[in-house]
Amino acid sequence: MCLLFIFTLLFSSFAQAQNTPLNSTFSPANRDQVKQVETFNFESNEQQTGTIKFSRELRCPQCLNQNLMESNSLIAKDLRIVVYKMQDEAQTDKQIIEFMTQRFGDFVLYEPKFEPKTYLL
Amino acid sequence: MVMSVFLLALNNKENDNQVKVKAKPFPSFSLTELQSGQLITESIFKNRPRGEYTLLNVWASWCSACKSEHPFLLKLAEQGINIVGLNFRDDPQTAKSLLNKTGNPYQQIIVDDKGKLAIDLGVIGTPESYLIDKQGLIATRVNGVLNQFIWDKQLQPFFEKTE
Repeated sequence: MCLLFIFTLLFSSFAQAQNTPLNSTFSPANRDQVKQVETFNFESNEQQTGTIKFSRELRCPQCLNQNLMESNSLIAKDLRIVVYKMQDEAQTDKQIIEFMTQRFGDFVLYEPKFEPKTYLL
Repeated sequence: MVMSVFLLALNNKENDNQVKVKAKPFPSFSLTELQSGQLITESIFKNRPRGEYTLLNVWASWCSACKSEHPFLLKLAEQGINIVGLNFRDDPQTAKSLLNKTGNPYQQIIVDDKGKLAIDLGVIGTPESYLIDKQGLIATRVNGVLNQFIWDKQLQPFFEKTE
C-alpha cells in the first residue's frame, strides 16, 4: 500500500515535470547568441585568458551568486559579449566596471567599493 | 550597539524589489515598433496621450511570469495608464499572436530582439517595469511581477503627486 502511494507520488511529480515547458522558467537558448559568445574572435590567447579572468570577477545580475562566465542565463551571455567587445576595443577594466555598475548597481562587484556606506565593514 | 546597527540594516525595506540605480534619462534607442513596424526612439515618452508618466513593461512571449502579470496590465490600461511594452529577445510573430489571444495593454511595443536596450536599461530579468516621466527620466523601477499591492505601494504615489 505504502509502496503504491510512493509510486503514485513519483509518477505525478514526473507527469508534472513533463507538463512544464522548459522555456517557461528559463529563457530560450538563442542560437546566434550562443555562437557569438562561444566563438568570439580574440586577438590573442593572452587577451582571451585576461578577459575570461576579468569576467569571472563580475557577478551575473540575474543570478544569485554566479559570475558572468559560469552563468548560462540570457543576460549573462549578453553581458559576456559586451565585456569581450569592450576589452577588444581596448577599454580599461575601470571603464567596463563603470558600464556595469551604472546599469546594474554595485551588486555586480564581488569586492564592495570603499565608500561612506561601507566604511563600517 | 553592533546588534542595533545590524538590525537597522536588516530592516531596511527600501530595496525590496527596487534596484537602487541613480535617476537617469531613458537610454537612447532606435528600434522598430512591433505592430506598425515603424522606427521609434526615446522621444515616445515625451508625447504620450495622457498623464505625466508612462509605464514601460519588459516582457516576452516565452516568459511565464509575464503571463501571470498580463491581466493586471490590462486592468491598468483600462484605468487609463500609458503603457509601453519592451518585447525582450522574442519572436515578433509569436509575440503578436499572443497579444491577439490574450489582449494588448500596450500603446506601443519596442522590439528589442537583440537585447541591447535591455542591457542599457539594466534589465535583470522579465518581467520588469519602469516609470518614465514626460522629460524622459526614469522615476522608478520594479523587478518582477506587478500586482495591485506593489502598484499601490511603489507606483501609485507618483500618480498622486501629479494630480
